[in-house]
Amino acid sequence: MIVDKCKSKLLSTKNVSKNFGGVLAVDNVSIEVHENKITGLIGPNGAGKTTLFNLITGLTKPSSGEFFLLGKKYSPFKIHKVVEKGIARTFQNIRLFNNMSVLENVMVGRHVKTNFFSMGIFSSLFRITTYNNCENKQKEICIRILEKVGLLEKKDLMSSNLSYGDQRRLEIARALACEPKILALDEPAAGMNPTEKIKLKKLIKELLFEKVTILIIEHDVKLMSDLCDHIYVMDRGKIISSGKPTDIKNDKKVIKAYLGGTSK
Amino acid sequence: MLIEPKLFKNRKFLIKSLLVVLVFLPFIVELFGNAWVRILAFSLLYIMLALGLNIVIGFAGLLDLGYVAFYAVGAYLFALLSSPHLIENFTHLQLLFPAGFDFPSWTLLFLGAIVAGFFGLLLGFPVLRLRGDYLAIVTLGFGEIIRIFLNNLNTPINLTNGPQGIGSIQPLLLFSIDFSKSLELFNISISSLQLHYYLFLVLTCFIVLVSNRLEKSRLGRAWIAVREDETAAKASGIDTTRVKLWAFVLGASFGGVSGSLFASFQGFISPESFILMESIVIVSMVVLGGMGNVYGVVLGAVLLYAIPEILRLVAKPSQEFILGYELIPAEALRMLVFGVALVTIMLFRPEGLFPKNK
Repeated sequence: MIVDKCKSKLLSTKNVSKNFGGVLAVDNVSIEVHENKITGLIGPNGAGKTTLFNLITGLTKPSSGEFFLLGKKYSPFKIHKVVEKGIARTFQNIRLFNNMSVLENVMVGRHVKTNFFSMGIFSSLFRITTYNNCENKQKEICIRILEKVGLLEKKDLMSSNLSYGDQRRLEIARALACEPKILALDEPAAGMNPTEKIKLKKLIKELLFEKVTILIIEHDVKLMSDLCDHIYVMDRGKIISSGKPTDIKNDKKVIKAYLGGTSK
Repeated sequence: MLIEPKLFKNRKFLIKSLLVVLVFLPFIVELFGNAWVRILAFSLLYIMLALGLNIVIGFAGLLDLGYVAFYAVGAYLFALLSSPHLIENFTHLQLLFPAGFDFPSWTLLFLGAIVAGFFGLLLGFPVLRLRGDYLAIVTLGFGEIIRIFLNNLNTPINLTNGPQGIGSIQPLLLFSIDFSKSLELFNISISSLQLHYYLFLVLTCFIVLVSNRLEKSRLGRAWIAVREDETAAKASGIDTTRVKLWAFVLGASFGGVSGSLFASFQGFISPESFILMESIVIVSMVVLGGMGNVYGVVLGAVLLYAIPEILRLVAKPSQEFILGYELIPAEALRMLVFGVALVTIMLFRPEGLFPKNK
């Protein structure tokens, strides 16, 4: 077992690559996510940000490379296993369970935190006390999470009836229900209006107090520079720059990647 | 918020009054003839089947077109273990059970559920990665494979007696009640048909309860999550493989029990009872009632089974009464009404009569 010495390093990837046929979507990427910090991932469209996200969370299989969580190596081949280990994610295009209520959506997130014995088939059929207690406890936890993201009064609505911004927040709530160590947000502010963005920013900052580390992909430069402690910039599958938001803003390579230019 | 408890109370009252009606129904219906009691009993059998399939299609969203295979497995298991067929054909079994098998009925029902569940697992494994149309094709094939096996397993060894089917299946014997004879209770004679009806009613209530509880359990939520968005379900930490297999297994075991009941009720089974059309009818019941809604599916099953059967009984006399002669033969009218009903409902209520949460 390879144990990393640096304790604050919660998640790291080492030389991770992914090719789809001849296209190198992610090329030899090594990133580090530090505990209780917000790490950002930016880059122009098609840079491979979401693919890297998918690799880390087990949605796509990597071609090569190693992944470490809390210094321990893990192989992200099955998404639910990765969630069990403590990485929960949201999606760029919202993926909610449309025909379920808001509360039920969050309850699904509790799946990994409940087990087969206390909440399995037989105990649910006979509704024994341990089952009822467990179910009620889960409900309480979910209600607390909904309160946190500001959706408590909408808990009985169908999730498909929520506004766009609320749907995004519900997805975050569902991910939080898994009690992740790392919350991976894939463009959480996409399509949000300025007020919703401010609310989101507040929410993300609050999460830090609860010892949730955040990895975030976002296009909104202002939001990112306000939020992130550390930013990685990707272009054509490679990390081209990394550092504090202020450093990134002045990096010539970054400006070139976004605006184009000669390679001189 | 204020209306909710009242609605709940009303619903409880509704269910109670419905149960009372259902208890007295066979006596009322008997006045019109035994065929009507039979329709009632079969409606209940189809409710059980449809509720089993509802777990697979309605809850987990897996389109299974071969569901009748599990019905067949349950029926054949019961038939083989409670008829003299196997003993007549295998001499060493004759030595082991000189007086016939004589297993208690409840063990056979239980075994039917378990073996059908096992077949569900068998089907579940290879189709885990398939969705939608592809899943439908493979399950359809599975249903046909089972039926063709049953049809042809009379050579080289005569296991299923082929297309002739298996007869002289022992009647049910539960709680020391012989279901083939009428029972005298408080000076009321309950006929064999009515006894079966009551047994089916109890089991149907049990299965409705199980379905309801499963739906609101951790597993039920996981099923619905898989149905709504499989990737998101995985990303919420659900082991979709396991959850889908449970859906197949539980759905199949409901089918197995119904099959065993069918075998004992009929006393005779043949592969003809388990054709593709049966699967399609059961799927229609689930879809028509409203996928995923237990009470909707119950209604769908009753409508799709009872209406054609009632038409079969009523079509000829009513036409003769009105027109003086039979314009459309009962069989043709039956399918016509069936088809028109399906098309109408799919046009005007594409999500079923009682869709979930709408």
